[in-house]
Amino acid sequence: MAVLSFIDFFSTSIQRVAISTVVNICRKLPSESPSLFMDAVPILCNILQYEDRQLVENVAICLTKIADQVCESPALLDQLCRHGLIHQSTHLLNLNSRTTLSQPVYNGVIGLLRKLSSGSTLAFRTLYELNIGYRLKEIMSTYDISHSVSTTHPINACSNQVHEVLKLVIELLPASPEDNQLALEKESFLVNQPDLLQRFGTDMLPVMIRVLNSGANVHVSYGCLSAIHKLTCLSKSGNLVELLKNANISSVLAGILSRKDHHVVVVALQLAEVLLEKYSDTFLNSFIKEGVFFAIEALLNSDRGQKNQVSGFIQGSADLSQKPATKETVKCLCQSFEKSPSSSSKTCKIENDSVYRLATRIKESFFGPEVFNSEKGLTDVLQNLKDLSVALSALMTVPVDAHVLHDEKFFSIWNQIRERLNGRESVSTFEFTESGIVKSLANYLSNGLYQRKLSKGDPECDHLPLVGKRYEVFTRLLWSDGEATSSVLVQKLQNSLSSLENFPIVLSQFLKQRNSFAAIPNGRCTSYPCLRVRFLKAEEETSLRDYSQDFVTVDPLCCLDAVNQYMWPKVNLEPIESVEAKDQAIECQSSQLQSTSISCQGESSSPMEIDSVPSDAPQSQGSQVEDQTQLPGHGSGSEQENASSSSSEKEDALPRLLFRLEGLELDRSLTVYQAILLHKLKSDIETTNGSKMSGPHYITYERDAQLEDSSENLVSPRSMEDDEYRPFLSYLFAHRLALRLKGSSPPAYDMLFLLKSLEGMNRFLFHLVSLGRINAFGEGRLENLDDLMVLVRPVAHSEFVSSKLTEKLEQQLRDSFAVSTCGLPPWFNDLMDSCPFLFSFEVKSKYFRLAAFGSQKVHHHPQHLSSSNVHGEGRPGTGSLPRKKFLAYREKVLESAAQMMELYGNQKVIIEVEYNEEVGTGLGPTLEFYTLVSRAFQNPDLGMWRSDCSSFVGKPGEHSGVLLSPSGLFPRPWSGTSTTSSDMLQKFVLLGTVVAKALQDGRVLDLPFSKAFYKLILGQELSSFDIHFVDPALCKTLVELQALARRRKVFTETQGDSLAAKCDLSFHGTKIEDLCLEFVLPGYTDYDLAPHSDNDMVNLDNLEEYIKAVVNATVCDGIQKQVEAFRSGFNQVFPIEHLRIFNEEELETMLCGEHDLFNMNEVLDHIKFDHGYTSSSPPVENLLEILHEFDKEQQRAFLQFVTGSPRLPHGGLASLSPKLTIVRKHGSDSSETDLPSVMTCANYLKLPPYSSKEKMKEKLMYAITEGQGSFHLS
Amino acid sequence: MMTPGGSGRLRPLPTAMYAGYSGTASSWVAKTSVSASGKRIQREMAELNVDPPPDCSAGPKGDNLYHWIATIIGPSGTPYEGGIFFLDIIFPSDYPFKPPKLVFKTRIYHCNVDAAGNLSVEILRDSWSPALTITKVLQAIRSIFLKPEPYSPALPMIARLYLTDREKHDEVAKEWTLRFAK
Repeated sequence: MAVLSFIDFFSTSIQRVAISTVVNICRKLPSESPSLFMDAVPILCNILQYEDRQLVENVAICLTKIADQVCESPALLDQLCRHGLIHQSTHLLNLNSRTTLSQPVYNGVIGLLRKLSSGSTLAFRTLYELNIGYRLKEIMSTYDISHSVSTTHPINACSNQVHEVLKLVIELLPASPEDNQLALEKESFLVNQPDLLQRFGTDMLPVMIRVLNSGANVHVSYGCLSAIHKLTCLSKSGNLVELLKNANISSVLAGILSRKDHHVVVVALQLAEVLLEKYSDTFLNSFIKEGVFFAIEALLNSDRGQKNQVSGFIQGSADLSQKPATKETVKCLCQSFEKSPSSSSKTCKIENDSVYRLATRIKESFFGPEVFNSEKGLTDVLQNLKDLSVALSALMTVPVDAHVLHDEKFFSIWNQIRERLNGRESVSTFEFTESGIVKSLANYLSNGLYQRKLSKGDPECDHLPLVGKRYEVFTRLLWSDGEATSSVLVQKLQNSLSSLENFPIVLSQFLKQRNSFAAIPNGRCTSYPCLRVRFLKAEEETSLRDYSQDFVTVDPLCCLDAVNQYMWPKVNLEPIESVEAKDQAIECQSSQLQSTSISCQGESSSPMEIDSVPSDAPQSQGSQVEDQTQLPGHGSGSEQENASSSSSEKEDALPRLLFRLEGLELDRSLTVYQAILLHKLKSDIETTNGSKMSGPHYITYERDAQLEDSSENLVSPRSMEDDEYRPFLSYLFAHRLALRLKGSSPPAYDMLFLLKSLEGMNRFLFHLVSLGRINAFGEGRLENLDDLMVLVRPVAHSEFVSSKLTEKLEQQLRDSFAVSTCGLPPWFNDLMDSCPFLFSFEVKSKYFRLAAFGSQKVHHHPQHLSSSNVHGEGRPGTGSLPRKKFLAYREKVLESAAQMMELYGNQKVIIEVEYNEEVGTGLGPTLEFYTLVSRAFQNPDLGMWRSDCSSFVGKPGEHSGVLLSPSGLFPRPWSGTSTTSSDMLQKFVLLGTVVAKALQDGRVLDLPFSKAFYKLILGQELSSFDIHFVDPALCKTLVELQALARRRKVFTETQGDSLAAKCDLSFHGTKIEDLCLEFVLPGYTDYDLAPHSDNDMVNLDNLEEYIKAVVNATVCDGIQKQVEAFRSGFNQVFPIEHLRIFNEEELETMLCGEHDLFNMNEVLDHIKFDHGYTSSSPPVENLLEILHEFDKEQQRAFLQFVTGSPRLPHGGLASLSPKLTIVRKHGSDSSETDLPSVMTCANYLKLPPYSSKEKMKEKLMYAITEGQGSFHLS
Repeated sequence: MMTPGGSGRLRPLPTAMYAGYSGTASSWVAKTSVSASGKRIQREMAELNVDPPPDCSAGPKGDNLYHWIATIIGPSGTPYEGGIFFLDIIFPSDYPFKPPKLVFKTRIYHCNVDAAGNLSVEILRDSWSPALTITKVLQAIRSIFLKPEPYSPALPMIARLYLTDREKHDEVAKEWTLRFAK
């Protein structure tokens, strides 16, 4: 091995000899001593990068030999692959070894391949011959998955796997202009073997385009684009054209051209040019159709405008792109794909006006004059859509009272639109967006409401029922032929949205965690850099004093409100006593906060630290603040929280200051960071880096004229008279899209609104359709009550998830600064508030953890726990929080739970449960405790829940003491006067706390809540149609009765009262009176339904009233108090509002884990076998068979036996952590009599090797049924 | 088996066999006042007395308005001819929003009645409507004596026999009627 260590010093020829020696050594390598040759691998790898071909190839052989030697041991192989080799590594890739190789190793292998293929034609050829494209395709298509997984470390986006793959791909497609020997060789190879290249193209292209379509990461898209570009340059076969056409390259290009990143645009333009040059006839049309030309034109226009203004702008943008390259560590995009990282020239290779030049060239050479003759240039489809859109807008001017006219016209217009959407010639994204159809549709549906804020006095409020009506009609039309049309529409909207939106991601790799001192608002150290702000008095402001002329440091994460509080006493001219007192209070408070750190601070001990550094040297500020003391580990978030809360208590009527940044008013509710960010972003590129934040900012202040009444005078549609559409409309308008979004990008706002409408319609589909039917029945258009039955087929939730936005949020959440400080760009919060459906469940969960529990929990995704958690146990979110032991009593589970919550409910600690007089502790008992509590809550004697009193289907042997409610648990209605209520409400408070705690600790509860109750938790209003989830039979009858009441109402209104009674107002042939319904709540007679009228029976006259009262009692007033109690309990742990981003199903998954237990396909993948068992040993096979035969109850029991909880956490068996492990139990001689035992904390099942399957089943059944309920040593 | 917690309040149960559901129902009755759907049930009782459907009779078992007992006489021309079949009727507390629960107390060989006496009749399940009354339910049961519904069976075995070998089926049914219902 010494040979290798000194190889650097030898001459080339000696090196060769040395290497062959090594090869010889490697051949005879004993497999027992891996460490020796592992030492050699780095050196060998080093040699791989040498120029000498022979040497390199020798080393490759050598490495192969080593790999051959150690291929028995995966661990060693991993180590080896970090340095890697080609045959071995392609082999590895082919073996789908990604599951066994760690991510960086895998990336390393790909990186090695890349190096190899760039260094040697042999490798290059081999790769092609090995059909590497196929393999790479698979990697790429798992891109999305790998993306959601690879979130542990906020890694530099460059180093992710796709990036590596793309590098390899680019390497495999030699650039033609380069006149180096290797490239030429490769090219000739490819020319000679067109079929190889074609196969490669077939494999890669569709995937790359798909990635391109969804990927928001600039690096990745740049890589994909250049790869495609190269591919098209090289390829000459017509097949490729076909491929590109199928993949709809034109629409992709159009979308990319509208992006702002310089490099990406340039490559896209290059690609477009090549395509046009080569296959002009095929692509010209589709380019027009998809709006590529339109986009190019737009580019030209904007560039031209800038040119006219200042030619220096280009220079400026050059600076922009060069700055990061020179000053910062980030490499310019084009360099990240450079072959040799040693390229010393750090200037951006793309000239600045290249965009312009390219665009003009394309225009000149390919756009005939007729193309840009704007009218003709449009396709028929576009023209048609435009017309329709205009017609729809025209419909707005028709007086709103003309219902029939509206309906008819809208119907015909919509039909045409639908034909277009479903038509043979598909509508391109470009046509869809450009036609303005979205805007007019949104406008029509909401009657123009979506554009503005609703305020109380708004006359438009009167039109809300009308809006509801329009939505209902639209719903009916949209779903008239199943869910197909609507999902097409959603699809279109999604495409348009992702091509239009340009929400920025703020990456702040430069803002390292460092401690700095923030003078404002309360002078303390933060663990992140401060902003330097200079507060200037507004010029016309006279009532205020000047503030300091110097720059001050401001905590970037404090709210402007807090700044206001700080500033006000300092600038106020009239020194009032109270203000001074307040001032002191603040000082007090701040010095208190400081006391830990200020002592070491040296020169400046005043809470106001005036930064004396000249403003053009932000670097030195950084260095100055760096020697501040370390803050104690606890997050600054909580500190900030109580600081702001305590001060906000004191002040309410304090006058406000108005802050302006460069003349624009800043939103007070934002943090300083966000406000400035928002401002900066208005003119900035898609992905900004944090460097701009460090520059000094000038904020002017003035006195706010009106004392803002803090209550948003947003009228919720709650105040409407007609409450038919209320839940839907309040859902639609309650979290209205922040108008901020509208300002930044109007088309995107339109899209979002329409998407939100569609999502709302989808969610309320049952509601809206039923309502439509009821009205139809009422108006006599439906004859039979049975026709009221509706079967709705909503569009799947997943269709509403925008992959691009999800991706963006993923990226954002990976940013350490954003995560550690909750400093997400404001648009994320806005979107989360208004359109959470755009994001996938995984991302939402992360966001939720961030928002609700603070930063330290975000990264504890189940997948990584096994490696990151040192405690050897843990579920999502266990993090590094302190643990508290709690002694519980089995006999008094609820009392114990109450006591536990009282002690630890509002603390961020992980609770571990141990039982009285039992030795077991840890995860298992804790989980079991939650299960026991869940069960205790379902005791019917508590009177908490509705129970289906007519359901007699109870199976014998079912758990006793658990009530039956087939549709899930839903609070039982209690009227206010009930005696038991206070006790019961207490239980609901406890339940809320337990649920919140379980969510916080990532525990699984076994509480089958009904969907309607989840809705309540999420803060939604319930309507009569939600009774469907509580009691379907009751709901059905109520709907029918409602229809009857409606019909009667219509009759009474249109004709005489006398006639109405004669019409067919019977209920399935029976008169309402004959139903003999009493005016009481069905099933709950003690509920006070109404002030007792003299007429106790339900008749036609009081039918409507009766229905309202029943609905009210069932889902509104009757359970109001319980729900409030639940919420108050919940809020003790964390604010329930954080849950709002989820929908019912997602919440259920969060709370109760997976719906289905394990399916047999995945069982083998996720169970480990150890200590004498492998997956093929007979007892294990028997066990798997037994598990397969188990019914659901037995599976639950088995899970409870092994893990302590009868349900699996979200993600199923795969996210059990640690993995379910089955080991051999070595007991006494007669293993037949032993019972299986478990270690729940480690999910460990110790199974004696029974001789037969029957025996095993018998013992297992005995264990899981009898073994419940205690923990003892085994 | 369902609410042992409430068992303290239970009155003595009629038979051990159906203890579960009747226990639940009567515990509900004990909790809720009779006035719940009492008027409706009383009205139906009156209706039934005035105009009873052929071969049927029904009435409260004791002083509990929610627990009835009914008899159906096997209609002539069927294998059940001459048999007297007893049924238990339990009214849920939210009757008539929910269907009543009917159970055969007399063993019967019929594809719509399972071994425990539960009926598989659509109107007692999903197509229940408050417009139906116990009279109509009894009529419906009588009609399945005349014409069983083998396509929604409680016991598929019998249904299959009914469809394939009608004679054999009738023979067994007759024998059962003779043995249990007379």
